Order: sequence, then C-alpha cells, then structure tokens
Amino acid sequence: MEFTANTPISRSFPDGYETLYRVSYNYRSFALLLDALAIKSKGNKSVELVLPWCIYRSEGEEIDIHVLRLIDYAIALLHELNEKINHLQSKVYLLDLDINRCVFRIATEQPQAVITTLQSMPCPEVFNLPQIKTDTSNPTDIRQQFIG
Amino acid sequence: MDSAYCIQSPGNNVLMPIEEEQFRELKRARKRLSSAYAIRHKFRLIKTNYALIANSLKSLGYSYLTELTSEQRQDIKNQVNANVSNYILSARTFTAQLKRHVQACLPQDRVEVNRLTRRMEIEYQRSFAYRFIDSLYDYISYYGISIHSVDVSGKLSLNNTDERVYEIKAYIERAYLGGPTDFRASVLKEMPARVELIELLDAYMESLGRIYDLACKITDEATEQSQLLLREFLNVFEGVNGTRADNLFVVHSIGDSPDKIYDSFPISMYSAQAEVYDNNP
Repeated sequence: MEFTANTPISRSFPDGYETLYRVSYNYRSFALLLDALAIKSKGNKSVELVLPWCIYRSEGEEIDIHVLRLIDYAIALLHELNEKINHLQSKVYLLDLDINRCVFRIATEQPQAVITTLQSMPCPEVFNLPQIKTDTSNPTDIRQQFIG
Repeated sequence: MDSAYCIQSPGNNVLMPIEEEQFRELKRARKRLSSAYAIRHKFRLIKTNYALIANSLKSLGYSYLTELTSEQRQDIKNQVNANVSNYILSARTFTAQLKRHVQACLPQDRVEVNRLTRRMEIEYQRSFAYRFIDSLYDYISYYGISIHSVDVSGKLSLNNTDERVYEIKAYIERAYLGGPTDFRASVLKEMPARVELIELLDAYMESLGRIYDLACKITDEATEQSQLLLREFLNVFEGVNGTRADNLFVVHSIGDSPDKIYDSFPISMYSAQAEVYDNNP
C-alpha cells in the first residue's frame, strides 16, 4: 500500500536516500539506502563503520520513539561523514541501525584514504568505540543483499 | 382455525388479501431473493473490508514516521488487526455458505451447484493464497491476531521534492504460525518464510471473483424470475390501493384477527434492492 507524506511533517530524511523501517515483535530497524545508480558512480569498494550505541532506552520510553531519536543522531552523523569524504568522491550508501548499533557503509575507490579520514574524526558521544573494516563484496551487491 | 393470507402495509394500515398458493409463491421468491442478495452482500463485505485494511495500513505506516503516543499507535495497530480479522471472517462467511445460498436459488438443480463446488475445489488446488487464507481463518479465530511484522519503505517523490512516497508491507511470518495444531500443516509446509498481506489478498480476491461471478451467473435467471414475480404483486398492490408499495410485508395469520400472525416476511426491500443492484452491478 503506497502513501505519501511531506518530509517536514514526518522526518527530514536526506535527499537521494530511500528509507526502510522494519517493525516486528521487540525488534525495530531503520535504513537509509542510496539508489543503485548513485552507488555505481561512487565506486566499487566498500568500507564499513560499525558504531555501538551508548544511549539506551530510558524507563518508560516507547521503543518507536526511542528509535526515532536514534535515527536523528544517525542522520546527523551521516551528513558529517558525507561532508568529510566528499573530496574522495566517496559517499555513505547504506546506513542501517537497530537499538544496539548503527552501521555506515561507504562506497569508494579509495578505501584506505576513507579509513584514514574516519580515524581522524572524533566519535560522537552517543556511540561507543567504533570498528572500521573493509568489505570485499561490492556496494551494489551488499545493498541488494540487504533489501533481500 | 382458518388461515388468512394478505399483503400488508404496516405504515398506513392498508391490507390486500391473497390466496394460499400466492402466499407460497411469494415465500419461495423471497427465499430465493434473500439467498441471491446474501451472495452479493457478502462479497461486498469482503471488498469493503479490503478497502478498510488498505486505509488502516497507510495510517500504520504513517504512524512510524511521526511521534505518536503509544496509545495512539496502539489504536492504529488494533484497527489494522480488526480490519484483517474482519476480512478473513467475512471471506469465510462467503465461502462457507455460498453453496447453500446457490442451492436455495436452484432447489431442483444439483448440476449447477456441483459446478460451483468444482470451481471452489479448483481455486483451492491452484491458488496458494486461497489455501493460505482458508487456513489463516483457524489461526485468527484462535489467537485473535493476524499481522506479525511490517516494512515501511520510502523514497523522494519524482514530481515534488518535499514529498516522499512510502510503501507499507505487512507480513504474516511462518515462525509465528506455530505447530500444525494451530495452522493447517500442509499449507504451513508450502509457505515461504513470510507472506505479504496485500499481495496475498490481491491473489485471493482473483479467486473469489471467479467464484462469485460463477455463483451470480448460475443464480441470475432464478433471481430475475423471482424479482418479476414480486414486482407483479407490488404493482397490483399499488393499483388496487393507490398507494406506493413501500415497506410491504406478506402475512399469514390464523383466525379472524390479523393480529394472530403465524408467519410474516418483508418483500419491498427486495424490490428496492433489486433496483440498486441493477444500477450497480
């Protein structure tokens, strides 16, 4: 079933990204995905940044409200990351979060330069110690796998 | 005690006597028409429940994009669940009694009823959606829930940069359907990990549509004849009494007093509805 909503009424999602919100019993996940064409233009290699949350659901806070809060933090960091790696013609193509962690995947032709840039950035205080790895699969495949 | 038969207009106390044989004819026509209309009413129930599901699903999808209170969100979830349950129950009401309704229209004709039975068997054999919804009835009537998870996806609208187009998909998941005691084992076995609700209902509606069309086709002639018979009596009533034949009842009373009513049934409602159905097939 399709429906439309104005971005100012709902969340302000970044341009160019598709959204996917998954809801099940005791489980919520949210993702932002760049479309396949835009990914190809950025590169064939993938860098993965995993950030565990260090903010937790407060007593009585509803899970859906909590997740909306996490989405806001993640989108703020997404903008910052994209700004920092823009000069490397690289871009976050998949942001995927649940209440435990937030994963940014970056499409690039220069994974080493991206990793160096990431390591030089301060970690926002809503996250615990991040992990950075490269992924051997290409971004388009990873995206496809993700949406299943 | 003597029986008396008449057509009565309770509103303005007008009464027209009829013969016993005419009473029987009217009663037969009324039985056929009520069955023929029941088929149509029930099919409309299903279609309307589908439209309600579509609406409440959209509200549910929207609810995950906005900061609602948990009570507000729960209300919307309850609505989706109620609408899906009503759909499944109304579908069962339709399929379970369809043969009986058709038989009531054609009491002499086993062949046509068998044709319908065969059609329903074919749909069951050919359509996973038909089998699945038939089995889901047991699950919903036992547990009272229907949907296990939803995905809400969205992208920027092509023609308006402020607007996003979202799509909500609701799933029934195999992992939650449980053991064979709660859900028909053979259908559970052929089921994928999850089934998307709207795809399922669309496929199911196609099967139901074919069954419904056949049921209408089989009963059309008997329905039309019964309508004509009824119309004749209504016309005579109007001619004799000079009043419109609105809200008339056929009454079988015993003894002299028309208050001692043995049997009574409405007829005008079938005529009025006949017009509605003729205009909106």
